[in-house]
Amino acid sequence: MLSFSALKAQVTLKGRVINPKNKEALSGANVFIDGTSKGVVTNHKGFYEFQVPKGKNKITCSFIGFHTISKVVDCTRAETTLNFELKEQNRELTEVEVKASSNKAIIREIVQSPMSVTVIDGATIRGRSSGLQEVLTRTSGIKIRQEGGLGSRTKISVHGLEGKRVGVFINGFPLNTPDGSFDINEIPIDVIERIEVYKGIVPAEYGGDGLGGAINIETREVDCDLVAFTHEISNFDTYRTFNAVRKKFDKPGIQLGLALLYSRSDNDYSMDLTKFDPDLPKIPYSDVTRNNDFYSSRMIVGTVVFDKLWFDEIEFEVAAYKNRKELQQIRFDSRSAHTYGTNLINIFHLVKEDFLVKGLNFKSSMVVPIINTHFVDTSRVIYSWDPNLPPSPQKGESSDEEYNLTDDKQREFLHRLNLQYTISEKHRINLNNQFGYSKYLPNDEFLGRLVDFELKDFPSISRTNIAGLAHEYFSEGRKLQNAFILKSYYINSKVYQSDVRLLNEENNGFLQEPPNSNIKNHYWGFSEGLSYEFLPGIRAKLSYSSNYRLPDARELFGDGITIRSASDLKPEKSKNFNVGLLLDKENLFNMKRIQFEANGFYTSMEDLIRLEWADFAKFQYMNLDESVNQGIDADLKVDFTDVWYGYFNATLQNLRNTKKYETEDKGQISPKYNKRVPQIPWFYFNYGFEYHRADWIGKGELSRIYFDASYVHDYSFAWKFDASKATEHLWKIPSYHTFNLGLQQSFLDNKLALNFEVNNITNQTVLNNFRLPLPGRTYRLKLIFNWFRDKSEQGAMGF
Amino acid sequence: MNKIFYSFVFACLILLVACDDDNENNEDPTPQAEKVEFIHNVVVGDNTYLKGIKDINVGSVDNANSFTHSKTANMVIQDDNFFVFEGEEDKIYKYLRTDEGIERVGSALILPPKSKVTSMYCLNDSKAYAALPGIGKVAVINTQDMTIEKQIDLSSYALGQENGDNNPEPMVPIARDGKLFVFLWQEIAAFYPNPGAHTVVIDMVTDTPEKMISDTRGTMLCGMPAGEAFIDEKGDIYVYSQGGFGYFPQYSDGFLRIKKGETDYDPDYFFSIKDKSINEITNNMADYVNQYVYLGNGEIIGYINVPGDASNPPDFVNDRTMQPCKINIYNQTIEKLDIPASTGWSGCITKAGSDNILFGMVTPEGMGYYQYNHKTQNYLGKVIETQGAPFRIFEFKE
Repeated sequence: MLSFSALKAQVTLKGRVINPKNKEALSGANVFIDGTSKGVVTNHKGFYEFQVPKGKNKITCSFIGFHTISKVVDCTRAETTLNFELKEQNRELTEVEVKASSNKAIIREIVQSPMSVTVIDGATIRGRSSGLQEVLTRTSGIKIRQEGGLGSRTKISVHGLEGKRVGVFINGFPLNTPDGSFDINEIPIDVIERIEVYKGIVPAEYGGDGLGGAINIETREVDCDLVAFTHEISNFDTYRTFNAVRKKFDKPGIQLGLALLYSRSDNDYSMDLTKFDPDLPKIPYSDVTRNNDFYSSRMIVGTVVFDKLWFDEIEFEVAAYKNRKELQQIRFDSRSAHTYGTNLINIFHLVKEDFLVKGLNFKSSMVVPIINTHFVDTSRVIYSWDPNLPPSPQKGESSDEEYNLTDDKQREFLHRLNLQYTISEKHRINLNNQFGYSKYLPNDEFLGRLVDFELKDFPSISRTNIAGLAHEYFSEGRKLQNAFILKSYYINSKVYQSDVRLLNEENNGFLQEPPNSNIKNHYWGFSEGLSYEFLPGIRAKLSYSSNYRLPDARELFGDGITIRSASDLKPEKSKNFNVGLLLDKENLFNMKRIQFEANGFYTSMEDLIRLEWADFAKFQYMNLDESVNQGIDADLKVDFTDVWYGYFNATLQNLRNTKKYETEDKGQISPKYNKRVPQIPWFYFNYGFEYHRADWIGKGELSRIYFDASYVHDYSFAWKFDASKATEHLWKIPSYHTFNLGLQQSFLDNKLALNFEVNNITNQTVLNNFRLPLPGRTYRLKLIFNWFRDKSEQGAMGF
Repeated sequence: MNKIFYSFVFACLILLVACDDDNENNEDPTPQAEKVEFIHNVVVGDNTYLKGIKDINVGSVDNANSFTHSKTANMVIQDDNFFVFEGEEDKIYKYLRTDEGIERVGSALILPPKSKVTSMYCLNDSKAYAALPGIGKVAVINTQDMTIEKQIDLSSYALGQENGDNNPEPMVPIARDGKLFVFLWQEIAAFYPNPGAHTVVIDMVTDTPEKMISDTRGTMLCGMPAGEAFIDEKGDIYVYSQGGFGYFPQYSDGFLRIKKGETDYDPDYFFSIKDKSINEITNNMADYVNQYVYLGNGEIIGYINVPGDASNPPDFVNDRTMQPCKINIYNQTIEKLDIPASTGWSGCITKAGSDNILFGMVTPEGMGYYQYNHKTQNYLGKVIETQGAPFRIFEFKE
């Protein structure tokens, strides 16, 4: 039954909320009709707007740390303006806390959306010496599998979706390089505003493909002058630094920014190979040192922003990136194989609110990466771990048994257009379109000699367009939220089959141009999600999505020699079903705040792409697997008091192969049918405690002592048929339970902070991958300095 | 609130039960209950699973209590011992057949890194020669204590040394009259061969190489799994060259012969499959022979690859291109057997007693071993079901 008020004519009420003390906008303040739950939250500029019944309304405005104000306003016209100036309470919140609460309001809004999403507040990790991977791997539903130390290859697993099946975005833009040379661990933890981990529906504004899991890293937008640097040292000659300056010229509305990043590590840690391979003799295999695992990367980023032109923001950014990565082997003492690369990334952003019509927000981003990668593997001998054995002749150290001296070029153009239109306070539409063009020009003098033509003369080209249209509905007070997303995936690729050798009968040689094929396909996907607050602070979520991951260039094009091109490769597809429960209560069970989230999930995947032997001579990427994952994850965060905080999260999942028959004629049920899919952790949990305090050793200073623990249950490298102890080292990745301890202290009014951290205190042998041990106990020391002209920005540490 | 909490706990418990680990038999894999007549392994995913088969009548064999090895684990039998090669791990494992089954003997022999061992010739119960195609050597192995006694370096026989290639890729050795014939692939890169059929002859008294013999008629000699060389009743060695597995139209496949008393190829003998018109197969053409067994009197039974049975583009999972056939190497004839073809990813073979052949195949009937009586030419269909694609099978000689 409709209430009487709902039948009344509606008019628009809008305005701005500021702090009169410094005239700063208050973002995240609540503005609502008194006595009802109908209201909105102010945007990042302090503005609000919503529909109210025509006539007199009592409007209340509240914000953490400020006195609540209520005003009666007569809304007789179609549009009424009502501004608020909130006075600070006696216990003054610091400006930093004000800014932080604004970010927390955004986080709350994301968490309450219908998506199954976990959000990590950047403030809680700022200043810590952990890498981004370590932060993510302690999150429910996620596991990061590394192959070694800093710069090593990494696979991100979200609810059993791993690798390319998980979209990784920075500020909504897909992060992908052809050789994976840039990984998320390169992003300094201190520039992160928040990390959003989507475990089912991925918002339409993230234009990439994927099977339902996505990680979006939002970096801090600092709108003032700043000087910041961090220096971090740890074992194995590891050093990381991040330096940034930004200058804002208010009058012309121009901001100039410059950032420099540098990381390096020898990664020369010791390994006891006999721990996971008892066939190896103790001497020398119980203590060997990684000799070929050096890693370095450097990046320089220049930014110019214009914020007083017709567009609210016009931003040019140029990033130059260079890295070098040595390739350590486990079977032998590798000494020379390495990759190096340079990326020049040009970015152009346009942002405008109320674009052409009121309520329409416009964002356009154009990215033009110029990527050059090199693989150098020209060693003529390889060395055994046993120093008494002579070197063996070999064509390089890599597994392809060929010398490599590549000069590969990838030229890309990406454009993302995002239009968000707020129809009313209840309805919002988002249209996102991402176009991608990729041209791959491989060049290898050894390979060229084999195939009798220059591969770069026949570049394979891929064009993709992924469009998403979303409609969001919010009931009064946002108790009920609904999101429907329709996605369109289009791929148009030209693939040269450089592995196919045709005979030219005239001269008994090879045809100069390899055959090629054009692939044009279009697919539709959609998502539907519902979120309902059925009791104050307790919310239920339900969502379903149908997703695609398009084959990438490597999978389609092959490598021209050992991997065949696969012109008929289909995209991977998935169906995700999520149900969730969210609790966020203050002053419950005498605790300051309790946050609890539990998710149940069911994901079915088809046409999963895997590299497999095509015949006796070559590999090919093929659509081979089907699987179903079902499980739960739960996440409990408790602020016991103002200073004590603890968390526990656990993930239990059951990823099974569901392809019943190996072949189309269904001759026999596959031996893998209904077996647990190897190499994916299926049970893991994390927990930790933290004592944090302000003004402990000085006014305005922050202190933190923290303890983190992670447990991963053993899982199988291979399809498991045999559980005998005698051979378990051939298939088992053993369980591990690691502990980290850290201390953080700020100085100079939180401009400077020191962090000392011990990782893997008990020096456990940790493997995320079969026979690839990670570094043992490590000590890290980090110094961070942050100076912002605007005091509302947080300093070197945050809570 | 309590109801919600308990519901969640209940849901967790249900899921925990559902998430119980795969149902393996947790007993130790050895010993098995009785003496086995065959040893075999199957491929599932990235591994092979090794197990004994009691006899041809067992009906089915699963992977419970099997030994797990890497994907391309080959084998060779020497009396009641057998050796498993892990080319990807550079190891040789020694096993023993006992009255109770099979058991592993000692620790694995660790080979030089990237040896990629694929084959071994057992001279007697204490000496064997293992070809190490990854590093261009042949290892002389004491199979009693599983140690390397000597490494015979073949790098000087590599083609392409001017381009830095010091590896002639030794594949399979066979011995006759005090000479070890080591057949070479002579690759430019993986599965990209130099033309020609090349073999190093090694004196087994001194274990030193004497010479390399070459022939332009064939290319890529005797690599696993295409079929090992064999010696017929006359003492002649026959060896098959794959010609690049059909990828190189200009290179020919074919059988070559080294006659008894000779250490050079017989210039009067060459038998190419590709050149023959074969009745009852698509386009009457096959491009290479896969695994086979020698029956005597010049007859071998094995698989031929029929490219006309492949889809366009090829569907390597479903295409059944491996056709069982009978080949007479004396008469140079090929006859298709009335047995269904297998996929390219499964096709092994062994003799089973004096009359029978077991084909390890994946056909519409499923995965397993299919029996063929070559004396009566009677095909009995699938007689042993396996839990995976048969990869290698060998019969113990009584």
